[in-house]
Amino acid sequence: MYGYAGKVLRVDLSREQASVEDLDAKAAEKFLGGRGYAAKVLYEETSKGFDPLGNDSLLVFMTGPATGTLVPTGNRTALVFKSPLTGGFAHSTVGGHFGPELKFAGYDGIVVRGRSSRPVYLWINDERAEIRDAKDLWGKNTFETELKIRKESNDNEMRVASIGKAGESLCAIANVTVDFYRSFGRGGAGAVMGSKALKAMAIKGARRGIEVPDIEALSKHVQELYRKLQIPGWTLPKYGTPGMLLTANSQKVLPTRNFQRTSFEEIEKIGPEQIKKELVKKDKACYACPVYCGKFSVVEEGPYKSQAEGPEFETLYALGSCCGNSNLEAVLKANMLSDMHGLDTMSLGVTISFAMECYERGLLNQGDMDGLDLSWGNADAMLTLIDRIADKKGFGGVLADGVRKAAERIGKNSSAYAMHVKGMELPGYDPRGLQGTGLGYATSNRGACHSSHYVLTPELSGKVNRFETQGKGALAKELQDLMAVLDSLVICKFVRYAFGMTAEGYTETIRLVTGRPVDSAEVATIGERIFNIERMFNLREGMGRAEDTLPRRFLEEPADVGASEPQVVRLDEMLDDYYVNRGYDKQGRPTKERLKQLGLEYAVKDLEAD
Amino acid sequence: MQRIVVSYPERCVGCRICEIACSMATEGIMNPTLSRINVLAAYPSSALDLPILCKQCDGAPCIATCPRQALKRDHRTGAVTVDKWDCNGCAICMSACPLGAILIRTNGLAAKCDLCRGDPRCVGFCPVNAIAFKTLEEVSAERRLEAAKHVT
Repeated sequence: MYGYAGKVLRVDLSREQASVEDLDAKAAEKFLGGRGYAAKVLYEETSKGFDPLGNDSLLVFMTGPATGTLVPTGNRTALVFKSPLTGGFAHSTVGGHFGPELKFAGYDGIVVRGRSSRPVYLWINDERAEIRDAKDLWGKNTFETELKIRKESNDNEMRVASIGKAGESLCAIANVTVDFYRSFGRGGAGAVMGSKALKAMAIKGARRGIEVPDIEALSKHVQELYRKLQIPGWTLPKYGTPGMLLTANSQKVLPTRNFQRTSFEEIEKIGPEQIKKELVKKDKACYACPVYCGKFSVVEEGPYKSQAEGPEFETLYALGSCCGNSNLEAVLKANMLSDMHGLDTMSLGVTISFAMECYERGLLNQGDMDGLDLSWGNADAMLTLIDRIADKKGFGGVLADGVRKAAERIGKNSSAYAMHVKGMELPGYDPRGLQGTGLGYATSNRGACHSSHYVLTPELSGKVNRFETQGKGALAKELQDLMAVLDSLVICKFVRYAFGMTAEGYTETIRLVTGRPVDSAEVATIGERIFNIERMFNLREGMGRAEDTLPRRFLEEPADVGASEPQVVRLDEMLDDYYVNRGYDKQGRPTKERLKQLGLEYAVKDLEAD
Repeated sequence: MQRIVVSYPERCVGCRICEIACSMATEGIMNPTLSRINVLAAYPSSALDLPILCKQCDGAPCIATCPRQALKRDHRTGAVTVDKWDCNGCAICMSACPLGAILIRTNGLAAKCDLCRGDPRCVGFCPVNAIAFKTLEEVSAERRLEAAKHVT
């Protein structure tokens, strides 16, 4: 098979067995790979209502045909699972070097089922796949875990994915840390791994190279893509993702103090210039990526002594402006702690800012919070709280499962300040200034997510009017379907500028890597198919129109977002149009006809199971 | 003048595109394990990415130790090359090389950077110009200029 490795590793932790199966070629054709292929596996191999932290829960790691190749950003791996945070479908993707290593070991993916009765880790070296005792690793943070596994394997180049205390404690906002500073983030994959007593996965691969039909043609195509990535004035290579802070702030969509404000008065203290001057030591790139957006940063000494590849835009928002925090060094330390414990910085920051607003409004006092003074911008309290969240200690335990659960536990109508969709905390773009993005947040399968659609790209560039709702239904559908394709190839959304924001831009790459003569219609259909199987998973779990909504703050509290007057998200003007574009009924369910058109007839039975 | 592929580690970002390009050019497949250039990354301090490959040494230890004289100097490019007819995969050269720049290929024979017959493929692919095809004298002159900037 061109592009693919052709094999999937099946791991049963209950039986402590591993076996190898062939990649389902038909599924690879219909779902491409990565997130799409994994979504199909999750949907078919689980039933309604299973406990995400129970025996029947699956972790589906899947690379795509582009992973490991020369294709720009051909480095990503998807992880699909049922989220303990939302109760619905979740996908994560990670960059770095993990995915390519898995391909070279000879596997397109790994499906983990069951749970081990004792802490274990998965150790893969080409055809050898072993389930090893992890009792000496359990309790260690991810950095210690990675170093110990590499040392014991006598291999400094093993790629390791691991959980820290947060995953071990089953925090619903726990991530899986990869290559020290990268993550399978959003949705709580770390908790699922923790529930399986799976501490880590270590991979070394050398035996299988990736073949494509015409290697010279691919090489020329890639060089053309490199040329397209030479974008004058692009801040991403120079500053990394922090470059977005200035754009979001000047357009008045940068969430500040739990979305009470749309710009941060102290932005220069945590802005890209400051970061480059004070923290950044080196540019870093993921495998096969010519953009090198990674920034290795260090605080050499003092109470915030730390190092990390970061901080990224979302971290600077969530643990910076969203918490009213202008202490940049503290943000880096918070970043490092999150990597070590395996915590999602976005969910973490928005949950802490929720607590800060509750404190501001008198819904919580210091006594409720173990004596912590959670005033806006109190970085020291924030750092202390992060450790307690990872351990689920005291007030940390109230917050450790995300903002929706925290609001339920605190009561007192605090849910008004819980900024999430379907339980997943918001990204760093206020949708009141980006109407279509608001629709995307409301309807994305994994919850409040911007990267599942990136409607903010044409909205922030001015290609479409960000204050208008017209046409956003069609746009959100098109881009959600397209981003599903990127997540299945698996490539990084940061190079979407070179490939383009339509299906047409990806056809040549897919053809050159897999040998399949796809056209843009087929690529768009693959994306739509993937989106819909995920949607069907959620419908099966009982989620529907009622969950396609936004926090009350966005729907009812107007904000100054740079329009002629303050705005709310006019979701009611967009949602029905979106459903029509998707071929859904008024309850947000795909019609039988649409499922049949997409080749998902077998999912029809879950439409009727109400 | 002898030109070799030289690296500027301070520019390297660890993308390993050079490794992929090399395996494509030499083996027709994408597998960095087969690459004759290797980027070493330091962890957990991500402060160093170091491209390592053959320097086509004068008085090369690999040429000296090969029991079958399978390592030879290409007089046109100056590269040390592996003669696949004489090589038997004993890997003594691997141990002799102080840089670890020689690998054993999947066919069992030794492999190393041979400068792609005088037009090294990896160089054009590097997105940050961390590798270049230059003479040692050119590199020394650059370093002297850099050093002078620090003084003035």
